[in-house]
Parts: sequence; structure tokens; C-alpha cells
Amino acid sequence: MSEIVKITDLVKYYHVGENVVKAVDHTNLEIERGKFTAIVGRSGSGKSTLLQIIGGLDRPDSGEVMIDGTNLFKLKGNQLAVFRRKKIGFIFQDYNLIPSLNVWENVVLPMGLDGRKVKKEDVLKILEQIGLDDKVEAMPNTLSGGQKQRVAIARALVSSPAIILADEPTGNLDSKTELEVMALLKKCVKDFNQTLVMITHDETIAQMADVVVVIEDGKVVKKA
Amino acid sequence: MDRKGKQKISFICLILVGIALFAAIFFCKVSYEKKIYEDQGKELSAIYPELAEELSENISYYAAKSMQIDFLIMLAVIFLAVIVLVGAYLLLTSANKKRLTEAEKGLNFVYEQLLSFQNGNMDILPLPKEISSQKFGDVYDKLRELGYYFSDLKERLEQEENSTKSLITDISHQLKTPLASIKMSHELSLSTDLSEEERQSFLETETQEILKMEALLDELVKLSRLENSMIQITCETCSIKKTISEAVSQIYIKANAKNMEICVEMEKDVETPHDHKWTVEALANILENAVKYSASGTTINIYVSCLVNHVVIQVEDEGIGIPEGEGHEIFKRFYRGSNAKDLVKEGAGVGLYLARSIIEQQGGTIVAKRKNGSGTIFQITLPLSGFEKNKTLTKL
Amino acid sequence: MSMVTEIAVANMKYHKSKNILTGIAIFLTTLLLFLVPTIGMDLINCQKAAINEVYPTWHALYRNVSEDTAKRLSSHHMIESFGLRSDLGYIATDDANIAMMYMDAQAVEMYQLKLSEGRLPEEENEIVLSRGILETLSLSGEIGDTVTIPYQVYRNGSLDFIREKDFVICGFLPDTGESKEQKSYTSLVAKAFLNEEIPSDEIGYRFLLQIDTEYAKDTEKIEESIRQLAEQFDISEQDYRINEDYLWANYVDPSFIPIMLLIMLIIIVAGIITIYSIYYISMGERVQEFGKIKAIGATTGQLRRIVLLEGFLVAGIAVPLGLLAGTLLTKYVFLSFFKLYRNENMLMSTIQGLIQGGEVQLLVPWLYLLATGVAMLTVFLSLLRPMKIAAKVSEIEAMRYTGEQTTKKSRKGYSNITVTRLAMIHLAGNKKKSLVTICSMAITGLFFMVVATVLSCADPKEAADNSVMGEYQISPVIEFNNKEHPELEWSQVQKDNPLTEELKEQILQVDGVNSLECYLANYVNADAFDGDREGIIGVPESGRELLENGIIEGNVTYEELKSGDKVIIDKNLLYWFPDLKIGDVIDVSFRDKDEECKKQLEIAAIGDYSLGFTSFHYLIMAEEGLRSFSDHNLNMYYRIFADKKYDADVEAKLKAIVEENGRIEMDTWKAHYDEWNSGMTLTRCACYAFLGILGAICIMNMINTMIHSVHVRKKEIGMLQAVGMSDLQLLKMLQFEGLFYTVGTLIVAVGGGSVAGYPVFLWAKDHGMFNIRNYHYPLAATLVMIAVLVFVQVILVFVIGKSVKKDSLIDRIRF
Repeated sequence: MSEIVKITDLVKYYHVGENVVKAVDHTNLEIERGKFTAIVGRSGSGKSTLLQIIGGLDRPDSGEVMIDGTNLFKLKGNQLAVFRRKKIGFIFQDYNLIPSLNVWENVVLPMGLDGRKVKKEDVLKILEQIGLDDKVEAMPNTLSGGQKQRVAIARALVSSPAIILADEPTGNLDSKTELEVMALLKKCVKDFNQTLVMITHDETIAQMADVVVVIEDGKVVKKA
Repeated sequence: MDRKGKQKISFICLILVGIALFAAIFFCKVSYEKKIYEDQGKELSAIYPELAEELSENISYYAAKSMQIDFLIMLAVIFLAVIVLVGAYLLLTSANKKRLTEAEKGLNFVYEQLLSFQNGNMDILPLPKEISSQKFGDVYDKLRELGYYFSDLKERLEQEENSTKSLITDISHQLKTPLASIKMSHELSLSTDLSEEERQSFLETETQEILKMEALLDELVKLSRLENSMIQITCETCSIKKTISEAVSQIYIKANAKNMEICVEMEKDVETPHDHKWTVEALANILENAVKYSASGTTINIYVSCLVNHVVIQVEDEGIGIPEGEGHEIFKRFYRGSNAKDLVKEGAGVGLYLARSIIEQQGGTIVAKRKNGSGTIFQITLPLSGFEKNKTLTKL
Repeated sequence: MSMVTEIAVANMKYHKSKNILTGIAIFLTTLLLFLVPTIGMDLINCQKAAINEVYPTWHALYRNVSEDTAKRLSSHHMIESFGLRSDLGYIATDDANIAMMYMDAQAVEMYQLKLSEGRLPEEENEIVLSRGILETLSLSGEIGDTVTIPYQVYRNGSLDFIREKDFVICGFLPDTGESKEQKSYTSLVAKAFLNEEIPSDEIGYRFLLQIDTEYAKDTEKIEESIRQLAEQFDISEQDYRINEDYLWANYVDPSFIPIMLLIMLIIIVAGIITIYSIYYISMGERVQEFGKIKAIGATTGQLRRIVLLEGFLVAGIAVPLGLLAGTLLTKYVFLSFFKLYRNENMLMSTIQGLIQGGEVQLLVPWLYLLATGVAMLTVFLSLLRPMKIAAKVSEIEAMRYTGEQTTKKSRKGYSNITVTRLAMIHLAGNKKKSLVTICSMAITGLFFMVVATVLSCADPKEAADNSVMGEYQISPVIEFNNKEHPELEWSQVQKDNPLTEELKEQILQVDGVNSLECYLANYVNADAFDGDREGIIGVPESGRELLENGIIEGNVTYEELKSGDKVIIDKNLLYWFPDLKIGDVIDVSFRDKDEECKKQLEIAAIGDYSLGFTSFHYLIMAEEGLRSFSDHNLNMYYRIFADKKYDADVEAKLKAIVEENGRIEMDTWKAHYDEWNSGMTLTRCACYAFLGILGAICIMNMINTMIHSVHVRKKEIGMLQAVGMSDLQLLKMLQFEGLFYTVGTLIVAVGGGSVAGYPVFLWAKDHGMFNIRNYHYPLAATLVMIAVLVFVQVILVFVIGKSVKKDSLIDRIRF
């Protein structure tokens, strides 16, 4: 099974007043294991919604999402939460670090919630790789944007999920930091042999991906 | 503290001093009266010793009463004084305020004028009538002069733009001519009624074309070897400076032929783990592209800088650039940019693909960005090994 | 409508839930701010009105003032008005008590006497009577008629022989029901008659006076002036009386205002803390809005106004509602409070009459203004800080504002994260917020506990226990210094004491009576008591333990007290005569067999006894000791112990015995219980109602904190859920946080309240408040408080958890 995510006939409509926004419109997509897939589209093309559905944060109107052989929306309540924390890592545009927790705590949070034992050396190794081993006790709001995003990357990596979903991870960063974060993300994905799905509207960033999926009006128009 | 505040404070101080003065005078009066009452009490109690206690209480009652009235009078006087002073102050400030509103109107006028400048309207607004101050007249004059200056400047800019456009048309016309001649020479060499000499010269031209083809083939061979993992990327820590200079030297002759300059800027040399030979190849490919798709006489800039755990090699050219929408296509095999094909016929669209493969196999990334105006920026990142504990580096 | 107003209105609507909370808090604050002074005022006003209706209006009277002194006094600058009265004697009749006195017009007015007909007497033979007097004397007549009246005049402190004189009726005084019932009337005669009957140098006037209020404005000062005057004119302390009730009712008691202010202050502080924390807690999200408004171009002044206006808009709705509720509560609840008083007290019945007659204004207009003003002030004060925050917001910072700016750059963390640790980190990160919440809740809790302690100690049963020993108490009817009934003097009664052995037997035969203890008593005069009479109680052997246990200072045994020359004094006596101490020997005199006897008593110890034990006899001795005073039967109290505290049967039987005897009277435990119970119910209801509203304000605070700790962290919680927190874990985390607030509050409130309650109990005991003697821990109130808090918290978290689940995760992360 080469694909890790298999999306079949996925539909998600939003109702805004009398208008219907077809955020995801009968989409079929397969995402290959171990590859870096970029989903590219203009803002409003439905790429975010697609990613959120893949991540189990949102429910589709119809259609199926299979992740690693599990039908995501056949899971109920807590099962979904548990599946999410075991199999999916998230990286958000606005980092979504918990402001009251320090760097280390933020990184080990998914494992803690999962009740897994934290292997100190493993986490330290990741933090070292990411260049934050000297900021373990720092609070998130003392970090720069790039540092925050690197913490978020470490958080996504630490529980070694099956797939990492990144929603415009460099959207809030300047071009130099963007390059740094992307280089790091790419390297980590490669080193840890992770599958990365990233959405972006930036063509330059998309150049780094192995596979580029272009989305327009909720439909996949090109896959290369 | 502004002037107005100071004025206010000094006014309040004045009032307070006045009150204090009044209070002092009344205090003197009251204490003197009190003394008189005390004397009276002493005298009376001396005369009627058996009533001493009663008398003292009685006198103190009336003394208190008189003090009370004194106090009330004092309050009334102070009250009146404060009212008079405050009234005077208000009168003064209202006059002040009138002047201020005029000044504000003037400022408003200046603001409106500047706003219209910003919007590209260089006309001068008429001077509002209510403003009579001499100083503002001066400001108005200067503003008018500025308006003339701006409209002059705008005209000159438009002229310059037009001349640039015509220049480009001319250059493309100039380039077409030699191309037509090559084409013609080939056709001519095929025709029978040619002298041996003439044929020879045509053939030479053709030979050159063939040589270029050979170079292209070379590239293709490298590519296929890379694809089939016949090339071993072996990372060894060595100087990035050495790698870059080697790549530059490979391309130097070609650049020189086109009279192009290559500048390398580097904060400091870094030792990174990379495959020297192949990285040189990758960089050379990018540089070759830069030379190929740039007009002669342009400059290629190479900047090397360090991020937290990556080194960035940035190659900037002033060439034809990448058309929109082709960004992630250019690194594909056999892909040639739509405008690249028009400009340079030879080339198989292999160089960038090769470069990307080499860089990514070393854990690096490569992206191409459009530059404002014309040209392309290639950003290559290579991981720094054995993270340097350098504080200046940690800061992004 | 200006833009600022528009934004404020829009904000108010947008933050509806928060503003409803704020509104409720303001509503409750206003309600309290209105109710407390209103009810306080009403209670006082009613009492004042009743007093003004019933009591004379003089501030003080000086007795035995000679004509000369009266003249001198009258010219004193401290005295605003004065009246003269002189008691001549009585109209001689066996059926009633008809005083004959002279009063000038001013005195008549001061006594609130109004002639129903006619005028005051001027001629020597003129008299003012009442119909009741004529009836008693079986006379008849109208104004202008001449009647013959027998009278006795006081001469040298005793009544002279009966004489008769013809008087012309010149006016009538009305008869009150009371005077008819008690058969006690007043007749007025002219000054000429007084001068004729008594030589002018022997006339002792009662000088009634009102102090000039400009000179002395409050009760304390007025009393001081009265004393001062008395001293100046050599009027001894026994010879003046201050009309304390009237003064209290008409002049400001300086101690009243601070108490009222204190209560208002507590309400204001509770209100401020609550409203402030409601705003403070939601500031994080608000700041972002303000930042945006500022970025668009609002000035700091406009931002301030937006915040202020929003608060005032909410207050504009909540305050009138609070006043309305307060008005209704005052109108209906206050009246029913008074109905709880089943006491047959004249003042109370007057008050009830006044309220029902609508003569007392229950709703004071300026209290509305005061409550509105103070409520607005409360809102304003609690908005000060939010206003400052809003004004200080910088456009860029606003987007990042996370409530409290953690100044900490780094923190030692946990190596592993669990749900509980998450909650702890959140609480530790919001120390200030947590502290504000806990403090504001704990303050009310503490207050609640302290008052509950006092109330739980104030048990009407116990108060009754302390007022009466045993269930019934029978004593002979005695009266002092009543010349008409010399046979009721104790010295006479003891010669033929109705508390005989037969009576004892008779009582013991009643079914339900267990035992009977006989306490003796006698009365002595001593200079040490300023010539006053004090009672000595003789404790029988059965009361030995009570006697010895009550000693708080000194050491004496029951045996030693049998000697008759050693005595224990009750602590209460020290209140009147603070100079007394152990070892003092008091020379006392008493009457025995119509003779004046003298004795020396040594104070052996000081004790603290219940009133039921001493029955106001503050000298305590053993039975044998007291017997040495006289050979007569000194039995004073038969204290009867029955099976049940109250048994109508037993009481009826005993009542029959008492009535049959005719010379004894009975006091019952039940009567005291009823009295205390009705009195305490009112206080208790008022206290608990006050605390309840205060508690409601604080629960509002807790609800707000909990809602906002979730609302503000919607995004954070969303993030946590995105990285895999399950709903169960979320509930657990919230529950833990809530428990922290609750437990923190409870620890401070219950711990602090229990500790603080004790000294307050001691103070109340010392001041004889509610007759408190024993400490009772307010277990029920504590348990109720704990239960309510825990219940509210658990429910709250449950509801909040539900509402969190309702929103989609995406909305929250994007929030």
C-alpha cells in the first residue's frame, strides 16, 4: 500500500447566508507514503478545509478519508481524538503553541496526552536537530516566529506520527526564516522518513515538494 | 509638559498662594481675637473665682462662635476670589483657543494639500479665507513651489519609461538578425552551387552547432547516471568557499565571453558536509543557466549566508526570469521555460533537474524565485553539520 | 448616536453572556446597596417614629432643681428650650394611681401631652383632669365645674396626710388605653397651688431641657453637654436622667454611620472585585478588539469612553432593576419581617401600627439616589483598570495580548505532561487571576462563616436556658419603695414568705415535675454600690458545682461561702462598678426585723454566671451564708425542673397554684424561648439574606472565572484537542481547575472563618449579644456552603464542557 491517505469522493459545503460555498467538491486524492506533498491553491480554494478534514478536525458532508488503512470518520468521539494524537501531527500557520507551557512541555504534550512515556534522549535529539536544545525552558512568547514554528515542528515530529499536516507553516514568517523553516521541515521529514502534507499558496515553497497538488474551487485540477 | 499645562499649573499655584495669603491673614485675625477672649476669661475668672470653670466654658463657647463666623466669611471671600480668577482665566483661554483653532485650520489645509499630492494631484488648492496669519502665507508659498516641482518630476519620469520600452524593441530586433544568418548559412551549405571555401565556412558554423549538441548530450549522460544511482553522493566536510569558487571557475570563461561579471559575497567560510564534486556540478549548472539566459554585460551575484542550521547559497542573475505559473515546473526533467526556448535553442532542460537532485540528496533544498524587474534568484540550502554553538547564529 | 456609543452598544450585544453576568453582579450589588441602608433606615425610622410617638421630647431632666438654679440654668447658652415640672403628690384613692403635678406649657409639650379640651391651670384652684380620673373618683363634671378632690402631698420625701380641696376643672387630658389598664393617671395643677402647698425653698423642680443642637450635634456630644451642665450646677449623677431613647431616635449616633458605611463598603468591595474580575478576565480577547478599533483610528479617550459606556449601559439596565427589586422586597418582605415579631412589646406594636397606617416612609427617595450613585461608582471603579488597559493597548500588541503578560522568560517544567499538570500549569500561569477569584470568593465565605458562627451560637434555646434555670421559676411578688404597698417590701415579705415547704410539696406533686431547687436571696445597700441596692443570691448545695465552675478569678470553695462574710461578685457588677476587686471588703447594710443591720462582706472571687443562675443578683453566696443575715425565710426562687422544656399541662397546673396563692409569680422557660426566638429569627433571616446575596455576587464571580477560563482559552483548548486531548481529558482538566478555585476558597473561608469566628464569638459573649454563652461550630452552615460551592462548580464545569463541545474544533482554532 503505497498511499497513506486515500480520499474518496469527499464533499464539504459551507452555507454562507443563501450562498453555498463548495469548499471541497467531490474530491478524490491519494497521498503517497514518505513523500512531501504540497497542496497549492489560491485562498478560498478549499485547501485548508481539505487539510482539516484529513486531520480529523472537521467532518465532511460525505465521502471517506482513509488514513493508514483506518476510515477516519467511522471513529467516534474519543477514538478520533486518540487516533489523531497517535497518527497525525499538526503544524499550524500561527504555531498554536500553548502559551502557558514552556518549550519542552509543548513538545512532549502530545505524548503526555497519549499517556506515553517520554524518552528524554529522543526528544532532546529532535530538539538538537531543530536547534532549540538551549531553549528547552523558554516560554513560547519569548521566542521569535521562526523559533516558535520550529517548536511546532518538533511537537509534530516527537510522537512520530504516520503523517504530518502543515497548514501554511511559513505564512507568518519573513522570507529568510521561511527558507530556514522549510529547509528544516524538509530535512526532518527526510531524516525521520515522515509523510508531509503541506498547504501553501506560495509557488516558491511548493517547489520543494515532491508532489504538487493544485486545487481550485474545491477540486483537484492538477497533480504532478 | 506642554506650555498650556505649565500655564495651568502656574495659574493654580497663583490661586493657591492667594488662598494661603487670605488664610494667613484670617488666621492672624482669629488668633488675635482668641487671645482677647482668653484675656477676658482670665480677668473675669480673677474677679469671680468661684465661677471660673463656668466662665471659661462660656467664653470658649462664644469664642468658638465668633471663630465660626470668621471662618465663614473667609470661605466666602476665598470663594469669590476663586470665581473672579477662574472667570478671568476662562476669558483669557477662550481668546487663546480662537487663535489655536485658526492654526489648526491652517494645518488642516496643509494636510489636505499633502493628501492631494499623494494622490497624484499636483494642483494647488485655493487659500482659505479665514486664515490671516502672515506666517501661514509663507507656508502656502512654499507649498505651491513644491507642487510645481512635483508635477515637473512626474513628467520627466514618464518620458524615461517610454524610452526604455523602445530600447527593448530595438535590442530584440538586433538579436534576430544573427539568428537568421545562421539559419541561412545552413541552408546555403546544402545548396550545390557553392565553392569549396564557401561550403567550408558554412560547415564550420554547423560544426559549432554540433559541438553544442555534444555538450547537451553530456548533460544528459550525467542525468541518467544520477537517476540510476550510479553516482555516489558522498558527503565530506569541506569548505563551501572552495566548492563555490570551483563552480564559478568552471563557468568563468563562458561568462567572460558574454562580458558578464560574477560577484561572490560571503560572510565567512563554513565547513559543511557535502559532496564536493557533485555540488560543484549542481552550482555550475545553475550558474550556466544564469549566464545562458542573461544578456551579456549583466552581473551574477552569489551570496552565502548562514541560518541556524543551514547554509544558504543565493544565486541572483539578471536574466530572462521564470514566467509565472512555471515555478515548480522548472526543476522537472526536460522542462524548458516558455521564454527560454525562444531565447536559446540549445539545452535539454536537464541542468536544473540535475542540480535539484544533487542538492536534495544531500538534505538540502533548492527553490527559484522571480526577482522584481527581471531575473531569477536561486536559493540553495545545505545543512550545516555538527551544529555550531554560535550564539550569533542562533538568532534568526 | 455617536460612533463611540454605537461601538459600545454593539460591544454590549456581542459580549452578551459576559454582560449578563456583569449585569447580574451589578443588579445584586445595587440590590444590596439599596436594601441594606433602606432596611437599616426603616428599622431605625420605625423605631424613631414610634419613640417620637411615645417618648417625651426632652433630652434630659434634672431632678430636685431649686427655683434659683432653674432660673440660672434657663439662661445658659447650651440650652435651647426648657420646661419645669414638679410632682406634688397623689390624688388619694385606693383604686388608681393619680399623680398630681405642676408642669409649665413647655413641659407639657415636651411630654407630648395634649389637652383634649380646655387649657392649662393658671389659678391656684384650677386643675386639669382626665375623664378616667373623674370616673375613678366617681365624680362628674365639665370644664368650669368645681369638684372636691382629696390629695396627698410629698413632704420631705414622704406622703403627707390626705387633704381635700375644691378645684375648678379647666381642662381635660385624654386617657390612653394603657393608662386605663394600669390605672395610672396624671393631673395637672397650677404653679400657684404648688407655691401654696410647698414653701418655695423646698420646691424641687424637674428641669426638662433640650440642648442647643448647634452646640452639640450628635448623641455623644449632647450627653456630654448634659453632664457638663449638671456638673456646673452641682447636680449629682442620681439627679439627672438622659432621655437616651429619644436622643438616639432624633440625633445621629456617631457609631451608627461607621457601621452602615462599613457594611456598604463591604458590598462595594465585593461588587468591585466581582465586576472588576469579570471585566479583567475577559480583557484578553477584548484587547484584540480594542487594538483593531485603535488601528482604525480611535483615540485613547474614545477607547476609554467605549469601555466606560459599555459598563454604564449594562449598569443602566441592571441598576433600575436592582432598585425595583429592592423596592418590592422592602415593601413586602420587610413588612413580613415585622410580622415575625410576635412580641407584645409596646414599641413593636406601635411600629406595626405606624407601618400599617403608612405613617412611616419606608422608601426614602435619597436612598435611591445613594444606591444608584454608589452602584455607578462601583461600576466606575471596577472599570478603571479595564479602561486603562484599553487605553494603553498598542495596535500591534493587541493582536498578541494574552491577558497576563508573562514576564517570565523561562520556567522549569515538568519532564512529562499529564492532564493534571496542564491544569496546574494554567493555574500557576494565571496566579493573579486565580488569586483575585479565590480572594473575592473567600472574603464572602469568611464573612459568611463569622456571621454563621455568631448565629449558630445565638441559639434561642440556649439563650432561654441562660435566662431561666430549670423550666419554671416561682418567686414571691415583691416591690420596692412603693409607699402605697409597704407590705410588698422584701423586708416585709420575708416575714411571711409565701415560698413555704407546703408550696414546695404542692409543686412537687404536679405530674411532670422532677425536682425543685430553692434559691435564697436578700438585698443590701452599700456605699461601694453608690448607695444602690444589690441582691445577694444564696445558692443551695445542689448548685455548688455551677457556683464553683463559674469562678473566673480568685479562688473560693462552696464551704468558705457558707460563713456569710465572703461573697463572689458577678462579672456584670464590674461593668457598673469597675473599681471592685478581689479582697475588697464592702460595708453593707440591710433590713432585718425592721432594723437596719450592718455587715462586712469580703469579695472572695469574681465569677461569670448566666442570668438564669443569678436572676440579676450579682452577689453570690452559699445558702447557709445567707441564712446568717436573717432568721426569716429568705426563699426567693423555687426553680422547678420538669420532664419537658414545655408542657402546657404542667404549666397550667403550676399557674393554678400561683393564682391560688396570689402572692407569688411565675417565670417560664417557654416565655423566654419565645421571646428570644422571635427576636433572633428576624436577625437571622436578615443576616442570612444579606450573606446570601453577597454569596450570589461571588458565585457570579466564580461562574465568570470558569466560563472565561474556558472562553478565553477556546483557542488553547482547541490546540490541545488538535494535538489529541480527548473530551474526557478536557473535562478532567477543567474539573481540576474548578476544584482548585473551590478548594482554595473553601480552605480560606472555612479555615479562616473558623479561626476568625472564635474571637467574634468571644466578643459577642462579652457584650452579652443574644445571651451567647457557649461556642457552637456552625457545622450546618459550613456544610451547606461547601455543598453549594462544590455543586455549583461541578455543574458549571459540566455545562461549560458541553458548550465547548458544541463549537467545532476549527472555529476554535481559528478563533
